[in-house]
Amino acid sequence: MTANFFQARGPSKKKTGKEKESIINPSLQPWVEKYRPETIDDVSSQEHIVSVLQKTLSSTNLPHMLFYGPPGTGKTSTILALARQLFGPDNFRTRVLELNASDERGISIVREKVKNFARQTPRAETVASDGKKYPCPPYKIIILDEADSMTQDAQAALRRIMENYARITRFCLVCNYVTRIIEPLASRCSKFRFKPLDSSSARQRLGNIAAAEQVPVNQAVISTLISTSSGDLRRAITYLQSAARLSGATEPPTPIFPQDIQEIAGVFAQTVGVDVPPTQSGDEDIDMADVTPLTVKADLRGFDLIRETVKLLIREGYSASQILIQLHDIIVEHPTLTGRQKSACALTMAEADKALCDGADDELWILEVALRVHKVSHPE
Amino acid sequence: MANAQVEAFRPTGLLQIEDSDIGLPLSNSFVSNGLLGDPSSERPASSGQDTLPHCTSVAPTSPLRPNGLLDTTGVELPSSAPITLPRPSLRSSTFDGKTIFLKRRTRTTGTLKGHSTAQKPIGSLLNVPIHRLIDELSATTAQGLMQQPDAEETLWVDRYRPKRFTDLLGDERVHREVLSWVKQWDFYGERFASSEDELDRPQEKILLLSGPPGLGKTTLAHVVAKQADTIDARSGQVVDERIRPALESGYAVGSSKPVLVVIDEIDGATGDNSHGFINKLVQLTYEKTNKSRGKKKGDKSNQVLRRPIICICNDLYVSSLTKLRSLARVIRFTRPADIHVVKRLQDICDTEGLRADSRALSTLVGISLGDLRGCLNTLQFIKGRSQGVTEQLVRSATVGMKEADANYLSVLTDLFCPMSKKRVKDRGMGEADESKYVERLSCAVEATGALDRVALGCFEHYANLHRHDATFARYKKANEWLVAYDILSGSMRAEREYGVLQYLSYNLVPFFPLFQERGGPRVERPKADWEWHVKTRTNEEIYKSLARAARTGNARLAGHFCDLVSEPVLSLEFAPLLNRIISPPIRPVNSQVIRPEEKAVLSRLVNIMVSLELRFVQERAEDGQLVYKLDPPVDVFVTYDGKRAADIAPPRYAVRHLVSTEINAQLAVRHVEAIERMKATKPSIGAREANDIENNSSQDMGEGMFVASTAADEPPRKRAKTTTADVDAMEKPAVDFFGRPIMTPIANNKPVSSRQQATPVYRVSFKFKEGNSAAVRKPVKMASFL
Amino acid sequence: MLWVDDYRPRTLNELHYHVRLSQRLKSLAGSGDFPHLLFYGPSGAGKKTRIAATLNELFGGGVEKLKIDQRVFITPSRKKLDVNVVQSNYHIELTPSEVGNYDRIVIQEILKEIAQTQQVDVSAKHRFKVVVINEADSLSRDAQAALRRTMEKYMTNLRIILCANSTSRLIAPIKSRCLLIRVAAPSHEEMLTVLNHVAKRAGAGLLPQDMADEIITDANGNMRKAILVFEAMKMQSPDLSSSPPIVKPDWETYCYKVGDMIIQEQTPQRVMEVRAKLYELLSHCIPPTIILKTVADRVVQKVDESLKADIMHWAAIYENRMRLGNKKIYHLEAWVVKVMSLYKQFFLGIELGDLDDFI
Repeated sequence: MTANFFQARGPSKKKTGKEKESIINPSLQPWVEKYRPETIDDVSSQEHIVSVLQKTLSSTNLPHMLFYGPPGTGKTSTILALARQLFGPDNFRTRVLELNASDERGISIVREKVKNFARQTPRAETVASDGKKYPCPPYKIIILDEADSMTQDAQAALRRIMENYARITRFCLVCNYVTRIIEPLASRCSKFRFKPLDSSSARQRLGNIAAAEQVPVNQAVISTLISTSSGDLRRAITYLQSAARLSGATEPPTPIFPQDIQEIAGVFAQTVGVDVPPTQSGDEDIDMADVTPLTVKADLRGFDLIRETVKLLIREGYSASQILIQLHDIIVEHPTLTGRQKSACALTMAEADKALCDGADDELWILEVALRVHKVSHPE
Repeated sequence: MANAQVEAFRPTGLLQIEDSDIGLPLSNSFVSNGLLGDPSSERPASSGQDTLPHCTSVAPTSPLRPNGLLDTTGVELPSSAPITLPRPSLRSSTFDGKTIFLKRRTRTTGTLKGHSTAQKPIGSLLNVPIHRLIDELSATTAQGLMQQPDAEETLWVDRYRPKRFTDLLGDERVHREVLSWVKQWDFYGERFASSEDELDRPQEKILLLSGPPGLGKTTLAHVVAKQADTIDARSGQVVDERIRPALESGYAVGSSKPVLVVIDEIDGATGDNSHGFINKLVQLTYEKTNKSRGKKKGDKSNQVLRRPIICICNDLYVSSLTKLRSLARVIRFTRPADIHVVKRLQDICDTEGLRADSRALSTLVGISLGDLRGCLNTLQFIKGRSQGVTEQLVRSATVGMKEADANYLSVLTDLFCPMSKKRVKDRGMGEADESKYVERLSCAVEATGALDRVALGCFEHYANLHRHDATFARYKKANEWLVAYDILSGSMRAEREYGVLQYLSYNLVPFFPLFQERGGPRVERPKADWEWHVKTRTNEEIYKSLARAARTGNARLAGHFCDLVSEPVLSLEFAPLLNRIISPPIRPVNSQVIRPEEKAVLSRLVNIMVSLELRFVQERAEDGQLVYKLDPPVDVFVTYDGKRAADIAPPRYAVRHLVSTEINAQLAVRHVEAIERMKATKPSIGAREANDIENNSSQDMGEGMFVASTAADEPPRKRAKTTTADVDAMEKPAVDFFGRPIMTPIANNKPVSSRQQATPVYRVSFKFKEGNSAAVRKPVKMASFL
Repeated sequence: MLWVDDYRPRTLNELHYHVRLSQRLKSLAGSGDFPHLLFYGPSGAGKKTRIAATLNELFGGGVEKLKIDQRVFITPSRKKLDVNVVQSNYHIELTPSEVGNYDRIVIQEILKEIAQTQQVDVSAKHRFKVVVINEADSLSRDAQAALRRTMEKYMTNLRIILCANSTSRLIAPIKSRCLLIRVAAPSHEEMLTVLNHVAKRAGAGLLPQDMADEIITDANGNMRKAILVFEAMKMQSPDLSSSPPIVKPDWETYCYKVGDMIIQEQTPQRVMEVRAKLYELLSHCIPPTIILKTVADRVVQKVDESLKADIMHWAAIYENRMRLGNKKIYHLEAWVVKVMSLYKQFFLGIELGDLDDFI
């Protein structure tokens, strides 16, 4: 997933400020923005990267950088915090350019912007308005977000731009899939891999935010948040905000339950699924029984059973990709399935995911996955 | 001059039917006249070719008139000493093979400028078969051309292009048909068909020549027309800018001569939209039919199409020509017999000093599929390298020649049938080459440039083949390939990855190993898909009109039907069920004596239909019976395979009549209501009254105006009224500083009908007919005489 | 004037089912902090009804004063696009997927326009306007990207309500910017309540229980369809107690016929006949996916257990391919041939097996 969603920050914030739109009511401001780490030390659970960056910060010599890793692991937060620490709040705007590759697609636009930005020679004012001293090295930072969605041509063109302006600019590419970055570009950068957040630091972070926003949450809710967001802290924070909104809107405010989080995330309630007694005997009946939130007619068997179950699932309106994800989790952690069976299931799900991305019909493909998983788990 | 022409042209004078008991239709004899009437006068003139103005495709100044083409030669040289021709009766055969004898009239003809060919005894001409004559003629022409200094610089194709009717090669019947069609535009000729058209034009106003390239379509048209104003650009504008003025005035731009329009390669016409070329053309032909009927508007009648148009195309079935096809007289060209072509080529080779054996030439003709132009080009090419034509040379020179632009139908045939032995020989292939089909077929498929159509052809044809296939294995494979083809081409279009194009053709080649079969059913032109496509379009239109009607209903009824008319819901749920809702079982009785429960059903039905803007429209069926039809015809959505759904009661005339009258009554009531309300609001305009009254009335007014804008049949909107309290704030009229309402002057709802009592203007116009043929007739104003 | 419209709940309070959801929507509309919303759920579950009711809750009855516009947009390639737009003073509703691949332009233009006009009516309850985007799941990627940017840029003047059947086709950034609201199909009992309510208000007398059950089963969670069917039946036979057969849409019956044909015979001629039928269905604007699903459903009912999974497997495969290609009929027929072949093989296999037993 893309690394920075909210554009109202950095240089773009300044722009919107001119359009008189920056007066965002603090209650409307996404918490993701509100609680972005101020310094790189605040970045959760990326100790290795933080320690490396600390060193560069003290020497103020920054290489070109390539940040990659799953969404919501703090890539954008890290570079923004780093830039802020380097330049201070005053120079931040003039020294940092953030480009979102999916918005400004054409290479010509990128080139234009980068050129214009890089041309102005940076001035060094080391003492900032808040009295602190910032290193403020004599170069600018250009952050290319979602670099993996740039075309090959654009990346190739970028190569040259990087070299041309190497004296006064540093590039920071941020992407999810490092394989989508062409080799010459990747080799010019020092690479940083962001690993998914471990649950304890995520838990801590969420707890802090909830406390700051005065939202009463218990540990169960936080656990649900972490499990539904699968290591993506941004998603977890967004869910928390939505839940807080819903609960706060009623009079009097209702406490947040794990079910609320699940509902917001579009996940079927795990509790419901577990409550369902296995419709068939035997351990290997993991296929639908585990994800079935509803009981189906008991007299159905085999194909008809699965068909009916899928129909019910679709009626409930769950999205197919969500079903896939949950089914996947169940299968991967299933105690009795053999590795071979699991890999066969994974293959099916991969196919289905591709088809769904191409826009195929939800019901047909969920049924397809269910049937194949069933077949694999019932070797007769 | 004009008189002379009339004299020379009168056909009956030339022609007498000796064998009177063969009651020949006049049109036949006329045509014979045109062709054979005076070969004597034709032939000698060929030598005088140089004195004739050239028929060029872009020279609008060419002085000849289209219809005078046969005669002009005769009168072209009036100053020459007259000679008397011998007068044997001529034997000739008509279209239907009957023999007629033509008696020669004594007449004079231009003498010749001392050419040796003219010295031949003319009377014995017809002893020689016509094609031999033709060949001789071409030889003489060629000889003449040989003497021209710039002979080497012109293409052979141009140099040997037939200039005269008799020079033409190919099916003579076709040629005659074209000529006779042009002749029908002649006003002073005989009335051949009892034409109902008051301008005495032929029934089809456009002639459409079609056939594979190189068979002489353009040549024929030009020869027939002699005066050809060829228009090259093919866009809608051109029709307006050039053709229309040309047709209206009767003259080409910058010329004083009458016009016959030849539109070449019309199948490449651009623009499928309403501004496209074809549509303009079709419009042109229609225009006159409408206008000529409404002849009272005399001043407009000069827009009538009164000049012949000849269109030429290669592929008659190009989709853009669909409309034209039904309007035009279509004449198809076929390949002339090889032997004639070979003969002609032989002659040309002789004149050009190229040694050629007939074997080599016939190979050439075989390869080029009778394309004379291609043959000539090849020969000229060979001439450039060597002095003789051998089979070997022909083969090497024609590699990939005709196959390159093969028509997709023949490629389709190739895909489903193995090559005939003859063609294998023609192409000089061995057994080994024959078996290497992939390369050959993929090239051929790609060369058609109509891959989609080839694919469609494969799709429509494969299931017709009856080879035993127990497990459908071949069918499965074939479908796999088609699916692969479709996905490839789909992604190519969607992502503009035209690099994929080169692989597309290979997806269709597998049909050959799967289905090749000698003597299987003939491959048809794929048409089913198009038919269904057309049907789909019509249905889509009906959906759209239903949705539109429902949406306007929606506007009046505050949010109704909103989600019913979105795409999938409309076709899946709304349309079929709506049909059932609007066809309840009602007995056809007078609405006065109807039972109360039936009355309830009826009024509900009427309500629904009115709000959805569904109507019953009276029409007369083919058998003359009056029927009520739904408008828009939503009942197509319960009609599958031409049958209505069984559970819907068949429509009864009486019932529909009853419903229809009720609907009309309802509409009338609503209309009156709307008008009433509008009247009620009127007095308040401009009056300064207490604020609250003003408030109400302006609100009413707003509604009234609203009604006026939407079909003026709205029921009082209760919902709006009940929520008045809520919306009061926004409904409040703007007030000025002192709290008085600001009244914006409202445009009069009923604009005063601007029927001015203008005295009708009568215009006098005279028509002056100049000249002798259809080609010259134009309206002339009195002023030009004064 | 149809029942389905006449007796549609207008406010959140009138809604018959998903009470908890209605409460949430109500509290959201009541709070000052109204997020972007994404309604999703199967067709006929009541998404649009809920959207309309939410709007009503937000702005009051003024949202029902609608006017219809046909807006014209011009693409960079000078193509004209017509889009039907329904709007009130407070909201605007559009279906950008009407224009296919050009939906991005429509989204950009409309949103920009709305975002830049301030709410002029000072008495309006909220400063923002609401844009309702129907069929959001058929928006192209480009359009979704465009939407994503505008969603946060114009947050002050604009709220977006998306309506989709499934969230699978929406890109993650959009989903994470919206509050997801799942509208599940109503259960059997809930549908029964609604049907009875409609029957009562329409004065149609009591709806026989078994017939209601049948209608509901047939509708498969689609409330709109259930009410339409009910009304159609009532119109067709005013006396419902004689328990007339359930009205089915014609395309459905026709699809079943096609399914039966595939089972009855597997010959080239039959392939051609089936093809004609498929063309007929397509020409009635039935979406090819629906055709495939319905026919497959029918076929599966009739064949042996061991074949069912395979048939559905191929249906899924060809449905996916159909999305990628252009000519739907190729894929439909490919599936038909596949099924025929499977069926034939199955039968031949059985016959051979029988022979083996005899020997």
